[in-house]
Amino acid sequence: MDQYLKVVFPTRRHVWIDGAPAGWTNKVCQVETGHHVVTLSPTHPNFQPEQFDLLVTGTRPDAPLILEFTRKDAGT
Amino acid sequence: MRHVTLAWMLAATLPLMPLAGCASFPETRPLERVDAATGYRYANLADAGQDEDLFVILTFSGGGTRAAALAHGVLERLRDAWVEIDGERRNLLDEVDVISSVSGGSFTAAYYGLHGDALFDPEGRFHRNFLYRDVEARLKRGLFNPYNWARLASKTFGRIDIADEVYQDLLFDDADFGDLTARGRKPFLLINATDMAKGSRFTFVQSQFDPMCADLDRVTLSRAVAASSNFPVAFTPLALNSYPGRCDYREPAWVAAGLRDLEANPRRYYRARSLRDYQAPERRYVHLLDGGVADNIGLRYPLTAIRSTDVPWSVLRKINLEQIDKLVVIVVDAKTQQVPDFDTSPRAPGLTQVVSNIATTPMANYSFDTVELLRQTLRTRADAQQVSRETTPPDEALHRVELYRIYVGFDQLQDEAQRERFLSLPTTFRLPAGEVDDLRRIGGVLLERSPCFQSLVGGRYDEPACVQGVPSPSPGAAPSS
Repeated sequence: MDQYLKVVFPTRRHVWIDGAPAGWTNKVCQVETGHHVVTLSPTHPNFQPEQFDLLVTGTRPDAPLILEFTRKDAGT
Repeated sequence: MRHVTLAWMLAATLPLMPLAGCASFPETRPLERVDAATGYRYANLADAGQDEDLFVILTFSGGGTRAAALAHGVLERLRDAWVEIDGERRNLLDEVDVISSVSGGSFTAAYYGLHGDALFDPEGRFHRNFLYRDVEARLKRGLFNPYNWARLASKTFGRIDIADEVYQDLLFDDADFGDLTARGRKPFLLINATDMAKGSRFTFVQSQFDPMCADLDRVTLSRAVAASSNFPVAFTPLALNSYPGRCDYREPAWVAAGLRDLEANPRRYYRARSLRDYQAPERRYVHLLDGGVADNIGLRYPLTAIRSTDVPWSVLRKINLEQIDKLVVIVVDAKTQQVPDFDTSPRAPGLTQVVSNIATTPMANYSFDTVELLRQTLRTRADAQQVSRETTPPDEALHRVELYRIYVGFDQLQDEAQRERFLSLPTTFRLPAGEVDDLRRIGGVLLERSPCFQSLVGGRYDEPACVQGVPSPSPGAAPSS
């Protein structure tokens, strides 16, 4: 089963899935059903949370799972 | 006279008997340390990241010389085909990124991967020593050579090792995967065999050898092709050494995630289990059978790469990263469909017929399902892209990829007599020259006639033709009543 995911972040960054670049922020991407560790490119580690470790299931292309990362320094 | 000959042969063999204990399959070299930057991996090809906007995957099925010749015909047609992308004219054969092959198809794939256009040379080695040659006779000569009788008495040297030597002699010399790595050019070859212990696909790429701590670069192409075409019973299983735990192997991050997916995605769970099993310390050897036992189309691994981000050269990852705009999958399937005559008689079919059916029917059914799974996979993606476009701002929607699914198989032939003729060709390593010529020609014809292929070279993407297999009506055509 195919699943759909959108990772939200203020700027365009590589989305890393299970340890490798696998998409872009703010754009819907497709993943396989199952557990995934989702984070952003480690080149600029100024984001939080560090990662999402979750089961991705039950999504649709018009209702993707939304994961939001924020800037670590936001509001400081 | 016959007794004299036999006695002479035994006498000739006896002095060689001490060799029996020495004969062994070629040792697979251990890998001291896993290094993603070295070895035969897609990412290590010099042109890995180039021209991926058009990503072309070919799969070559099993079927002996019949399959090798059909695949050859498709490559020839691609050599003469061009596509225009952003005003740039590109040759389709040069655009092939990956070739996944099984059994007979692996000979064509491996020779092309190693020697490129020399494959097509009518005076060249591939034509002279393989395509137009009675390779079976050559294999039999190897097996009946008294010197080899002595070697075959060894428990670690089998008929498949003789076949390996024959293919080395005929086609590949001592070329190994290190030579392919050094060549550093696409297409990336996926030569598929079957892991006998697990019944699963085993592909000759370094990522498969990593958990075994074995160095693929030192494995010869002849050995990979022998494993891929290792027809059960006719040959013995082919052995590789494995050295688990000796190379500081770190399994990819997806494995730990996949091992939690037994309920949510059992297919992924078993992929993860399979990779982990190669790390078991007691698994010091891997025995391989013909790739057709696990997947006679050679399509399963590319399908996983299209559906999953787990594969090292994942197509899905490249799509998500907007690197691929057109994905082309050409399935070259040399399957046959003999019509048995036992239903014309009340007599029970004989043992040979029953065994043959047991051996081939599940394989044919699985191959059919695999091809259908490709259709379903691409259709789901096409539908998802459309829904995403309709419901999401364009710059946030799923990346839109043109999906080209092209199937080349004898059952596509319109002419019944011609279709029946090709569908009843035998699976063998010797075919008359005329048959080989016709197979090469028909490979090109079938590709050319595919509405999806026409849509690709014509520069007019026809999604119904390519994804569902139903061409769009041509402009101005009257609707059917």
